[in-house]
Amino acid sequence: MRTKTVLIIAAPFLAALLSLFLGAYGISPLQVLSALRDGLAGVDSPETAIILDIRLPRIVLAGLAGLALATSGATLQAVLRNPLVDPFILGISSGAAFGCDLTIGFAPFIPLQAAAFLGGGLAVLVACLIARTGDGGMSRLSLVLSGVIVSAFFSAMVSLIKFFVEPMKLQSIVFWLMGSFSLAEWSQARSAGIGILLGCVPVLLLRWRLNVISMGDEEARAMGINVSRKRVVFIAAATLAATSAVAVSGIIGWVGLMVPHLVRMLAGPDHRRLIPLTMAGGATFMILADTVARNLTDFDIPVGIITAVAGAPFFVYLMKRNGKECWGR
Amino acid sequence: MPLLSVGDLRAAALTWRDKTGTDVTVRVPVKRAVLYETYELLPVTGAWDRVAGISRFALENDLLRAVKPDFARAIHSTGSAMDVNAEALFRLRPDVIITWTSNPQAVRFLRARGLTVIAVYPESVRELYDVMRLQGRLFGREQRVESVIGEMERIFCMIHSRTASLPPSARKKVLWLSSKQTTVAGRVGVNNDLFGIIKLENCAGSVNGRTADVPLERIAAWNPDLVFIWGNARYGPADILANPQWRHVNAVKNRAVYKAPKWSTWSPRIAPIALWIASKAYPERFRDVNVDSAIDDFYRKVYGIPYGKVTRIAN
Amino acid sequence: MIRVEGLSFRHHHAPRAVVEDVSFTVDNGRIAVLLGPNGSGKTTLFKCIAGLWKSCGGTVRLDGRETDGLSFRERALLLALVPQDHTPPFPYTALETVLMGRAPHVGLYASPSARDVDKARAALETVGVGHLADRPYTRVSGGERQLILIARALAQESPILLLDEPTSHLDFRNQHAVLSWVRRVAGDKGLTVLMTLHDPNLAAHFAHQVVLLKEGCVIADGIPEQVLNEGSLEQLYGVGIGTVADAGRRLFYPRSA
Repeated sequence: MRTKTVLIIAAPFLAALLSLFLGAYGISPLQVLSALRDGLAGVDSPETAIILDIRLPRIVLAGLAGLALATSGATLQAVLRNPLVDPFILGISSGAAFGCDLTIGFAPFIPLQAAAFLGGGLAVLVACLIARTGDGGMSRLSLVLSGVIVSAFFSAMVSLIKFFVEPMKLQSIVFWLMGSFSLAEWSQARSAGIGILLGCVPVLLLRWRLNVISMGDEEARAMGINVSRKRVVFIAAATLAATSAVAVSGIIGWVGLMVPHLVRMLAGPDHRRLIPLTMAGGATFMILADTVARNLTDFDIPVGIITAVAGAPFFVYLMKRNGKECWGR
Repeated sequence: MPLLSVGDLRAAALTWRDKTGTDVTVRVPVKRAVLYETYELLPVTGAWDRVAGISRFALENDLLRAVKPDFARAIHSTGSAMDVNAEALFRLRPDVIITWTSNPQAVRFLRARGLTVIAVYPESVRELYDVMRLQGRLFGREQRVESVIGEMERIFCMIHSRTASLPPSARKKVLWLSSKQTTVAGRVGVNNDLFGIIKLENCAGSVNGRTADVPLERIAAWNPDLVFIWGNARYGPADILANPQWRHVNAVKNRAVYKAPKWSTWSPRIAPIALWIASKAYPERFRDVNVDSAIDDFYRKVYGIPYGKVTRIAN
Repeated sequence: MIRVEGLSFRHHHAPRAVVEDVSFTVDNGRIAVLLGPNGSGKTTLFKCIAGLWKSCGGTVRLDGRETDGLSFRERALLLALVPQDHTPPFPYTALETVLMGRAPHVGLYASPSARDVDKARAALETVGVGHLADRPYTRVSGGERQLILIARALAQESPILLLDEPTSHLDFRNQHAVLSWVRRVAGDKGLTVLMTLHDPNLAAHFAHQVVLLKEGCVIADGIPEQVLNEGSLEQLYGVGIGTVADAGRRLFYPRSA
């Protein structure tokens, strides 16, 4: 168990190191090392620009987004007691998409990150309000269902915006919906990193509570947990983390659903281990997927395609091998 | 391209093999056409009274509004090439519909209901001329179209005469950026054709397609001397010039990053645009040309309006 | 001590109260069984006492403290709940499951300490399932799972224990085994226990006190020898009841009509 844990925690750093050596510019490993040394010494050259200003921010951003989506997925799965939810089931994705499209179309001065969070947050808030019952409680099933309703509504709003835009111009409105890190730069890594940090730190600190909450509202209350309040905190944190990632990368599926499951199969369901290992696993997965996305062909394939193509068969393989652990019966 | 045309002066039949490979026969001149695409050719043919329906996006088109501000009163919108409003279309009883190949289901749907549909997608200046001549024949305005093509050719020849002598080694490397900073125009399409005329080398000439996303470091490896940005893009030269990731790219070092005006590639307007690109690429060879007045001259001759009227509407 | 006074509960828009003016007391260290047919309001009464359902009329006092206005944590320190058998979404190990019972003792941003883990292990040992500590809680028998949930309630270290139909999913042998553990542990630790059961014979054998609930009202409350007889059970269940006596125990059975 200990070696496994150390390996998973070390994995994103190894993946980042590997990724740093691969790219379209064609820099030999020795040149990469000397560029790193030059960069630290403040020497500017085309190679240092490639390594330190193009490859490195992209790796960091991919790692942060993977961490955020996977953590968000694990949190939502526990809070909603539903192994099949991910950051997008509550309408976070379509809400963020709506916020971004609206901003691009009508208020370009609002930063995309803020628009994504406002959109995703609004979607979650509406979903929770719909799901609230008369006595102030909130059942798990109705919350998921109202997430579906809100998601459908915001998707329709996004389609409505798209409908009124000329197809040629449409490209500039929807390009970010195809998840990709092609425009990664340090300023993006910084702005997304703040939101991701603010979302993930509370989850990390409160993570053991996820065990208790996942047992169900009544049991968790009987064990002294204020479930309603904690759930708001967890969902808000998961929303902030996920929308911060979506705003810079666009929609990337599978990571939020798959990584928590993979980690659970390797290290068990206890959130004390699951949350930090999911963070490491999500970052590793996304860094590797993006390395493939930018090196597989001459083109920059949207990483969302890579995560889906690689994720689905791998998931099936693990499910067949270890299905019982995966579903918890 | 036209295969044959038979008949007397009053009712001739035109057969045209369109971009889907279908031979379409139309009785010309047509009286009730619908233009889902290439509607910027309408101010060229001037066949305002022969067009019954038009794409809803044409209603906001700067050129159409500048040339004929009240055209929408007589010409109805019937949706767009991607969302054909079938009922509105059938009510107009069109004798020909011009749309693009990007929505083949719509083409099949309309043909199955007995409508005459010509699907186009010009991918070079030559193919654009073909489509212009097609419309000239559809509306009986061949003379007019030929004179516009003549004006375009005059500009292209002027460019050619100044750049043809450039040895391959002196040709500049250019990159056309599309919706985002890493989406580049490849070897297919009107843009690439214009680069050929201007004697610019398209860095993304190896990309076999209209546009493609490439990693930023590939652009750095291509190291273009000049960068042009699509007019409708959400970013501008300032974004690229200020981005440290681009600092070693020649175009940035030379501060040769330009944003094109908003324009349709399927329009005679590509000729003045080509002149503008050429003057940015090889300023020393166009020092004697007043580009602004040449462009204004072209608009007055082809569309009968000053260029300023269009830019006012566009902005 | 559990003291229930004038407890009533009515669902929204329901014409009739599910529980009507219920009062009874369970003294310290006693095992009380709530007995009643389906729909008698047993579960409602149970959830009101546990504080899981709000807006119950009347008062509930746990060890002398009125429960209205207590936070979930404060209530959890007074009272631990053993739920009916359930399937959690994730296959936690038995130890991880029992550790959850330490929730009211663990600080807001903290995880359980080594001392909490020791207490969880001890709780598992107390009910004789220490060997299951590292087994997924989802892969043990129904009887073992019930014992693990009891261990979790013990780890909570509350003086009062509520068990919601602890035998409902168990076979004949396990019903007795689980209730024997409850009786032994409650005796050792001096816990006050309230549980719901379906079988009057189990109630007669394991309870110090039996409360009969019919249509939301208490119809009898006292020691099993007094409360449980053919007459009271016929009134409670609406069928004829027969009795056999053997080796000093009375066994009730329904007489077929």
